[in-house]
Amino acid sequence: MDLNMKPSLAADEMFSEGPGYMEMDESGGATGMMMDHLPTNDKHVHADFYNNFDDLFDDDNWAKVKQTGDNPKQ
Amino acid sequence: MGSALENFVNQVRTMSASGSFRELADDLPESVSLLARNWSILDNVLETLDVQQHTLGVLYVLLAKLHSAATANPEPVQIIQLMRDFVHRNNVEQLRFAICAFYETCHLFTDYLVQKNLSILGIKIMARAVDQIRQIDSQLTPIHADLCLLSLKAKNFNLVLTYLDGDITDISTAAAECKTQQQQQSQHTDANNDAKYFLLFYYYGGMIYTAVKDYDRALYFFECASQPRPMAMSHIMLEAYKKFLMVSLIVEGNIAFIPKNTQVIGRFMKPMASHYHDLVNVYANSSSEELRILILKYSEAFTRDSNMGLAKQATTSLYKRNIKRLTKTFLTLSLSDVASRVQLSGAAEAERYILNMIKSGEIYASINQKDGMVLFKDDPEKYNSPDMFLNVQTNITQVLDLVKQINKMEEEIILNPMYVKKALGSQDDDLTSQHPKTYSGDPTD
Amino acid sequence: MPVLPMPPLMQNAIEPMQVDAPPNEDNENNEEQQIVVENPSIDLEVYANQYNGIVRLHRLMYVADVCPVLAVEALKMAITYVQTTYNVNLYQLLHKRLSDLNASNAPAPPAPAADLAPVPAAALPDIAAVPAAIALPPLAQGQAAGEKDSFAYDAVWVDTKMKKAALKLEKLDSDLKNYKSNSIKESIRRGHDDLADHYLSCGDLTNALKCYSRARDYCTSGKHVVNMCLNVIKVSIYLQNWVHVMSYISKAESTPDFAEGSKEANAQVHTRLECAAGLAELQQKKYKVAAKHFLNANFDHCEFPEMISTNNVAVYGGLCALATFDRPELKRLVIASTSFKLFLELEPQLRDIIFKFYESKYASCLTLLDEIRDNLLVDMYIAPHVSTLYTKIRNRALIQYFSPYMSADMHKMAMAFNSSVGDLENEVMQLILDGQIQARIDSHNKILYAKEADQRNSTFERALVLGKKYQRHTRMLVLRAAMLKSHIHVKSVTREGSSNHGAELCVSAGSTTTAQLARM
Repeated sequence: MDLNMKPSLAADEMFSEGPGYMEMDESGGATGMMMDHLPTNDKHVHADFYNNFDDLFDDDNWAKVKQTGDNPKQ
Repeated sequence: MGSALENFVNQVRTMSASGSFRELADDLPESVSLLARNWSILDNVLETLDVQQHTLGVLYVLLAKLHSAATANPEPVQIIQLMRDFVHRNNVEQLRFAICAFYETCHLFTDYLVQKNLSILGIKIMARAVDQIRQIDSQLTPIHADLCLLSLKAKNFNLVLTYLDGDITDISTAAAECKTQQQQQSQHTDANNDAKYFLLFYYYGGMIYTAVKDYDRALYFFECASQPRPMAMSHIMLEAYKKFLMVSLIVEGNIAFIPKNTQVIGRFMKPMASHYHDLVNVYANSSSEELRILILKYSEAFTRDSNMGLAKQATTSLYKRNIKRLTKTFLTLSLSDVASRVQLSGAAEAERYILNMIKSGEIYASINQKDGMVLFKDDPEKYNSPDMFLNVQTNITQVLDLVKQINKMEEEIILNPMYVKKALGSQDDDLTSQHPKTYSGDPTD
Repeated sequence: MPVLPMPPLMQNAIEPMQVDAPPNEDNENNEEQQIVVENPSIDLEVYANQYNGIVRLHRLMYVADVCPVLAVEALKMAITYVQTTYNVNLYQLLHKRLSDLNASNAPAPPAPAADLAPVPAAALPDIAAVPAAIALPPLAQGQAAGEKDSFAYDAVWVDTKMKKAALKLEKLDSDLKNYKSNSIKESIRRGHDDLADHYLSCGDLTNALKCYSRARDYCTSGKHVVNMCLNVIKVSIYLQNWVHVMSYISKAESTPDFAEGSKEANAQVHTRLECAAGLAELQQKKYKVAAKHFLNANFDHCEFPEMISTNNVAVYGGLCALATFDRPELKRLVIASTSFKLFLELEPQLRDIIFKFYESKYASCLTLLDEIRDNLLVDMYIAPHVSTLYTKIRNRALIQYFSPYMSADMHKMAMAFNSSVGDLENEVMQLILDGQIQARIDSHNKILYAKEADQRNSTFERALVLGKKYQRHTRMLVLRAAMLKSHIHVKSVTREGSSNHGAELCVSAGSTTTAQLARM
């Protein structure tokens, strides 16, 4: 029944992405499908990267560290 | 054994002398295991080679030394000295034949220093390595990430910032280099490594900018780390995404730029970063009290991710943001009213915040000590000073430069034979008969 | 009209909690339950008589949902009315609701009337046995026998009605088949419409919609098309499918016959479409557009009891206009409108509200608004929007109040808006933050000062921000181009299993390059 045009209309509105972005992976349909087909856990990569830092953003700690990097902007 | 090494040395010397660097570069990867097996006498081999003349040979000895570092346990000072010497004295023309091996050597060297806690000694060496190997200043190489890692570990950012501040317009990848150089070695390195080092550069870079409190730039870097097309969930992207959310709150007060790749974010990252999303949602309510409670509740997770500091900064930023809102609505307000409106503990704390914000130029106000009143003022900027004029000028120039660059890129694409073929080809299919003349004047025909 | 059985209701009114609670429990459907109207001042019968068909039933049921005081009366009216249709399902549903309501009401006053107490107890088994179609004494235990009977569950009626409906359906169906075999377009079209009418009477909205829209293929004139659209719009309104309503309105409006025909002849269709559009926009929270549609309605041609009443047009249009129009618009489009004036005559309270607002007598305007609030809340279409509209109106009043001043005493202002200085301060603060009032509050002296927006400064500010944004975007774009060129993307590990991915990489690299290039 052609009356069901309404959901599609609503869906278009719902999923429209705001302006400003270039949709570069329209062919990302492929991406999407692949993501969907594979079980979740196989899909994790880069688990081994080095990320063992002190909390560099704690101002309390940071005050103790010698202020080496002088702020480049202002 | 000895003779095998002698053969190696001879091969390097003769082929280098005859200038057959490409052939040498193609042959050398086979020697890596031989060299590594003979780790104990590699120093003797080095003595027979000259960095300037036999760059490729020395490079592979270094590579073997680093590969065998776990067993050989060499003096760190010696390794660092060798590396420093190499990057300063090698012959770049020769080095270009073995870019992949050079990248690998740098990665291993970085890992080694991080492990030995000597990161600070590697910063200058790695910076020099980047300078040598990149073809233009705006080219990103895999070893940029190493430079960032060393700087982060050493908490020393002066040098690395000069590498981060410029824009990237080109990327050198191991995949591309190895393809042309036919270096088989890369085969056992993960094809994801190029993406990995790309992501690490932007992730570490974002952290560095966050550490020096250049939040705009940090946000940009973390967003860049969400750009690669993901067919899998990268943990680097995930961590970058978490920090992206945090820094977004600090700098914008909300999530202003939703990174692309919404699918991966929706399906993999959101569930794995649910605490962070909760934080974003609570932040949006502008209630510092709720935010504090939530951070307390999730403090373990945030600490595990080393993001507790950012969480604290987010709290501070919300206080400040709420005070800023007050300046937009009030001319005068008592300190205690400020405190109660932004949920600070009392007039004293409110005063401390306001003083800090006045000092840093975030708000314009004065405090009347006598009656505890804050008098909010307007931004004195009238956009009529020479400085502002210069600022506007600079911005315009930057924008124009970007436009020029985009035009240049477009031109390159339009002139790319492959593009022309594709563009014509696809239209040929359906348009040949109808518009045969359209292309008759086309110079590429 | 059945006389309200007062004694039990009065007793219930004393214990409102128990009246309020049960409907929430046994009525699993949705959030509108949050609205509970205590004191509406409407005459339910007059109210209901404005509508016919499904609308009357829907409206009465809504009243029963939100207003405990009128629930029983509303359900009874609905039952009486539903018996004039073929809607057996609804009849059963309404009875179920009524008996549930009685069941929860009956035990509520256990003690007060000693002589009444045993009666409800005796009545209970009957109520529980409703499905078995035992006569149902509706709440008014010990009332006149005549009334008792008129609201008893009538199994015989249900049975005959169902049979009749089936028979009629069969007949209409075979008629339609006949027409179809004879291929007389006009008959087929009418056959569809008749069938749809019947479905509608049975309360089968989906099938009604189907049949009405099937008539489309057999339309031979523009008039038929418009008629088909109107039918579809009608049913879509019942189904609350507003997107659908809008699309069929534009279909009707673009029908050549309609667009070209004389205004006079089309006035009724026109007004009907405007009202439908107003309703649809209102439900989609587009209040200003909704107001404009309602204001376009022509009073002399506004007679569609199966959709909306003239009073509704006045209220919906008036409120939406008040909430969204600025002062000149309000003057030009509402107050000075000779056609809308006729609508407003029907709702003198609302007319007063609009005039008070325009005369800047905000305190009395807001008081009057509060007075009609309960009556609005029993209206199924406007109820969900009342609080939003009220806030908008109040904000608009605040903005208007302050607009001529350079500075305003907040004490006086609070007085004008029936509120305290503290609350007002918060309200104004929000408006300033939203950019609706250009002002600053001197909290020390409780004075509101107008702040002149410096256009030059803000233009500079915005330009700089925009420039930065553009740069950011463009830089990212350049980077993405570089990424595509270098094939930077995160691959999944499982794919790496293949042996010589080096070669594979080259191949895919080549092909993607062209694709990417082509795309750029």
